Amino acid sequence: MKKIALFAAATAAVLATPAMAQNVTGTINLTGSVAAKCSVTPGDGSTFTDTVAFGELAKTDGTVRTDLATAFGTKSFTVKCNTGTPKVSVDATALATAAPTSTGYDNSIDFQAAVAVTAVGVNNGPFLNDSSVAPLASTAVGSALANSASNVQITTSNYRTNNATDLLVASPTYAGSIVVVISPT
Amino acid sequence: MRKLMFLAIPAVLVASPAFAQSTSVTGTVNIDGSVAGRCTFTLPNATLSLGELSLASNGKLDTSRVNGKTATLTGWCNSTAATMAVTTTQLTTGTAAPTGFDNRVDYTATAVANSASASDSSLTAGAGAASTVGLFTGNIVVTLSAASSPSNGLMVASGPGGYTGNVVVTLTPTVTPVG
Repeated sequence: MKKIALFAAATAAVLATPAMAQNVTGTINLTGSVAAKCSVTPGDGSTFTDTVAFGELAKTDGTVRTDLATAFGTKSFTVKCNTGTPKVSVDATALATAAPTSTGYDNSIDFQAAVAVTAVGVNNGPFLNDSSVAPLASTAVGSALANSASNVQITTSNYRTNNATDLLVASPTYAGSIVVVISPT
Repeated sequence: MRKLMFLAIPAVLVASPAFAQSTSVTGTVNIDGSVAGRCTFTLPNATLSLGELSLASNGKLDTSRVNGKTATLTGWCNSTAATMAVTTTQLTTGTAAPTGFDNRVDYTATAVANSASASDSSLTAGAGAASTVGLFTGNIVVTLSAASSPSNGLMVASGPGGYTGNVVVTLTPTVTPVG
């Protein structure tokens, strides 16, 4: 009788073991994001700058030079944007001096700035702004900027005084600018 | 239980989307230049033929042949501090003048441009005082006055145009730096 009891106890212990073999599942969810952004290459900064020093602005007869657009040439920059909806705004400011003027004279030179971009598809450029009018508001390029060097090119044209016969007032300091803002959206 | 604790650590990485923000870039091309101070005569020469200089009645200088006579030059200056000065040379002839005769006519010349005037007398050497003519374009009107001969004597004869002199108007550009 004692022998039978011992057998029963050993059997019961063996049968209880399979209850420990259960699977568990662990899950790691990964998320992230990429902000809409534009940056300047090289440097990955947020600004690009250049300076064009024309020197003497007047011809011998005192009127504005006719070769300023050629002298300006083309200014190329590389901007990387990671969206399909970049926008461009342009603000040209006339070359001007504080020296007082008079009838038959002018102390400012207006011009038109043109910003051309290289895009992967639809391209609404070039984006124009004449210094005599309000800045060009932020305008859609139409598609993503091409991921290529020199994808932003700035040129100028139509440098002029109020009247073609106007003489430029003497001054060592005529200054103007072209400000271009490229936003990702 | 230990395994589940390890899995909890990577959850921190999920917080990264806080960096998502829009970034624009701004490019500026500064342009500058200058305009030198300059004056130019677009009509730099004129001739004033005074004709007969002596009075038919007594042979002395006929001042009306000189006084009030005008000639006009044209030009421009592009600086507010530009100046104008006049230098006169008396009318003379090469024929000698014995006592009682004159071979020279002195006068004053006044140039007016842009409402500014500058003058000079041939009785004194050198240029007259310069005046600020400023920014202007247009006429420079020269008027003669105060004619005289040294002794108010008889004018020595010469051929037509034999008495010669001149008025030189000098425009000088001066640029005042703008701050």
